[in-house]
Amino acid sequence: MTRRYPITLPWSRSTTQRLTPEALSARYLTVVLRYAAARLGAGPEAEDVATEVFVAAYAAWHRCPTPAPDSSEHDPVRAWLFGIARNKVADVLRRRQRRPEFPLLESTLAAPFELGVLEEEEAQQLATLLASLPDDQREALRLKYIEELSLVEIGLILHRSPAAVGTLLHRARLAARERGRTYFEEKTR
Amino acid sequence: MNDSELIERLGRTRPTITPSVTLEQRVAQLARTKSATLARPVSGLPLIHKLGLGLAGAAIALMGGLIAAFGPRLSYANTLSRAAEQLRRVPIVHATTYRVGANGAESLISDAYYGKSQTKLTYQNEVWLWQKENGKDVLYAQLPSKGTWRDRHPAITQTPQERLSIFASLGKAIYFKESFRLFPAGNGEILVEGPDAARRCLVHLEPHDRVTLLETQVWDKGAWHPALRTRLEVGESTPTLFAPPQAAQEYKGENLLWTSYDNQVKALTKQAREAWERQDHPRLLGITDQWLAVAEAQQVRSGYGLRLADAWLYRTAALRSLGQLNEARNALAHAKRNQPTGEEVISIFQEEADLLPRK
Repeated sequence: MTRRYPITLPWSRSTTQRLTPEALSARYLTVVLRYAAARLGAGPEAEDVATEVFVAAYAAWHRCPTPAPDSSEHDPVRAWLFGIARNKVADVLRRRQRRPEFPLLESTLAAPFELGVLEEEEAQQLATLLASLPDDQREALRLKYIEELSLVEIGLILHRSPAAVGTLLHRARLAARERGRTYFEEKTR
Repeated sequence: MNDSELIERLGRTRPTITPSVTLEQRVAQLARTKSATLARPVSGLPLIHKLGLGLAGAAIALMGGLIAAFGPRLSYANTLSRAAEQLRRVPIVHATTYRVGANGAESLISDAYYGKSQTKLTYQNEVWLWQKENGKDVLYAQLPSKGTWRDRHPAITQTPQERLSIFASLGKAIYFKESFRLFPAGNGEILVEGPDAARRCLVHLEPHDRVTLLETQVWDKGAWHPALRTRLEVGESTPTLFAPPQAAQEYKGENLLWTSYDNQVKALTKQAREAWERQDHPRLLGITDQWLAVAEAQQVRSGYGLRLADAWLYRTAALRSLGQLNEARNALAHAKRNQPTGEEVISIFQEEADLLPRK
């Protein structure tokens, strides 16, 4: 059985060139910041996380994967950066837990965006729904449907195979559907 | 909420955010710094080269450790080896050996002089003289029991090994047939230690590795004390007797640096060591001194309350070590008459064996 997803090994030969540090930041700064802002809310905290991600990436530069060809739907560099960003965000959330003045829930869909009243209410409902899911299911949903990563990339971040990620997403959708129905039914009563 | 609705809602919440100018500048600065670091030659080396550098570094560190651990010893071994070579090649004009007493006083044991036409060896009260007469090597000897020149032998009857054997047995110096360890003692001196933990040798080296002093030390009362000391003077004259000097390299098939001191001092050091091991008679350690030995043996009984047989045994050993064998036999007879215990009887048998006339 052949694998359907590419595996990039550090010593494997590649026809593509490694990124330069400048190219890395130019290409991925926005997506990294968006990921951080989606988890923490836009603001100085998300920007600090983005900075920390690139500091860590440059410090571990020898681990930076070779970019996939443009035709590929998988981007190992993005997955690598998101893996770093995920850890940095977790650090911030742990700090928040130690400081109760901050809200314990993640600012999943926080206020920086210009949302209408209905949209804001809908975003709040969704945030509440996501908060009720297990961590790995919530993270899989975000990476798949907000960041639009492939199963391979999500697998690299969550250290799972693409098939396992698919199963995880399936369960997450089932749980969200069940809890969303309960939630909305309760709200509409 | 079905799947498509959930997916649609999640998609709508995707933040549309752009980095601030400050963040862009900050990250760009990080990228420039990293690029500058990558531009350094070593950092840009391939992995295999880095591994090579790492292995080379480890090898250098290992070599450094080995040099630090064994370098000084090898260096001193080399120095001593060169010194030994000097002893073989450079003619020794004068070699004087002393026994060193407990108070540091020196008593002459032997005096050897190499001349161009005469070699003279004085050992205690004996005098041996080799000289050229009518083109032949002739040996004269004077022994104290005779009181006069005993005889005149044509030295030609003696092989170089025999002549060397006489000198070696009487000269008393250092004998390196066993494995030994070397330690720097400072001031150009080297300590040589062999398997016998109670004995070591100090070699004093002048510039150009010239050996000028050999000192045998014995472990006594928790410290090292000099027991024998040989001073060497070397010169440019080439002796015609005992030539060639490199004959000293081999003596009975063993590597000989200079001459042996083993036989003469063995009895005394053995006695000292035994007394030291007993620990209950510390004054007996002074028995290594021939002016003190008999007196020590005589005072043993009163000083330490020993049994009479035991005291006579100590006196026997002291007299035997001094070569006064008849007196030693008389003392042993006293030991037998004074109701020796089983342990003392064993010692008496041993002394009797040691005092048997040798053929």
